[in-house]
Amino acid sequence: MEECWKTLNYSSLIIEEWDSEFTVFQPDAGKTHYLNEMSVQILRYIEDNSPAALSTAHICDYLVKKFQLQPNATFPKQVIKTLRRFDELGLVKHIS
Amino acid sequence: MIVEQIPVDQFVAQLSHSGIRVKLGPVNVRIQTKLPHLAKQLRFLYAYYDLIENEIVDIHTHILPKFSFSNPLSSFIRFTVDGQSPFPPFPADQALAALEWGINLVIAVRTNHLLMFHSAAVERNGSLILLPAWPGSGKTTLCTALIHKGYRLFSDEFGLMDPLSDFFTPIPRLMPLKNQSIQVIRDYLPEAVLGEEIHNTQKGTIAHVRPPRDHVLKTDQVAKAKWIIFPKWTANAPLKLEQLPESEAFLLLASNSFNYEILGESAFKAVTRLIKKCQCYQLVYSDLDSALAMFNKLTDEA
Repeated sequence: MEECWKTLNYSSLIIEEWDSEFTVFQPDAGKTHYLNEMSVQILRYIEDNSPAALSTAHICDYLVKKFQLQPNATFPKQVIKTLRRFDELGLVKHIS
Repeated sequence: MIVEQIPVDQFVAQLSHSGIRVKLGPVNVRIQTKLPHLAKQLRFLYAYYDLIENEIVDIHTHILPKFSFSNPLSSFIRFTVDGQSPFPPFPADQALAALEWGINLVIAVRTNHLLMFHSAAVERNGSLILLPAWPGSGKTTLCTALIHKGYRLFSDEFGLMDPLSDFFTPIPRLMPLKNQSIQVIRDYLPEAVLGEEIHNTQKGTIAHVRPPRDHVLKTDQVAKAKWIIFPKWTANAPLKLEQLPESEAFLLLASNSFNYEILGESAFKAVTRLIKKCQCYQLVYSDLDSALAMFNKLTDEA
């Protein structure tokens, strides 16, 4: 079964944009994260669709359209890697 | 009353008994020692610091002789703060360096009501220039040059920002020049007042610059930052001042802070405001004349 994702306490995040780069303060962890635009879009898209959990494929489709990318085999792997990192940081929650 | 106003005998006696209590910007420090040589150095280099009487002391320091059974003919000292000794013993002739490092260490660890950057900071025309840098970047040398050419010293080591008001607080401490920088400053600024050279320290040879009198006496005059310049001295490099992208400046500045993570959200917001309000640059320089001309041009245009 495909992995699905939900945000964790997204409303508490403080997000600042600096010319398409972002600093994100996560009060729960007291940490600041430095994210690019695509990473922030991943978080925002998952949050916009809450309370539903989104599948990795669904998120990839959205990003391909949003950033007008040519689909390829490595792209979903990069997105999964980002989501797993977000999971480790407590920014998203993995739902089997 | 400032240190130089009390008679030498009284200063030495006070230092060896109850200790002297001095105001170092926002921090009150008590210094106690019976070492005559250190007393002489302090009397000279701390000449302009305010002596305090009825205020609470934040840091209680003591420099004590340390007898070594394994090395009975050598003379060592121990730095203690609030009765604890954070360092191994130092050779006695390095007592002043030990004291200065010790006080800096305690300020860095304890001053958590202010956001603290590892940075020099100077003021001109009412606005502050923050000079965050890592060790070896030449910030003390640059800062020494600036404060003898029309800029007011806030610190060569700590940028202390109130995260509520965004004002920076001066903490004009002694400035330790290291190795070749000592002669560079002696040649470039014959008027600079330096303490004696302390050899063979963990950072090589050190000589402390005494902050000018007017700068020490203005420690209550705060300022807001207008420029953040990350300086880097590089031998023979032509002067290069490049604007930094804001995201990069944020990353560099947050990672340069001693207590960014401790202050959490208020630090994030303070650094965000600071980056948005300031012009941020990276500076590479090799000669002080051209660097000073650049600083003057930048601050004149403001």
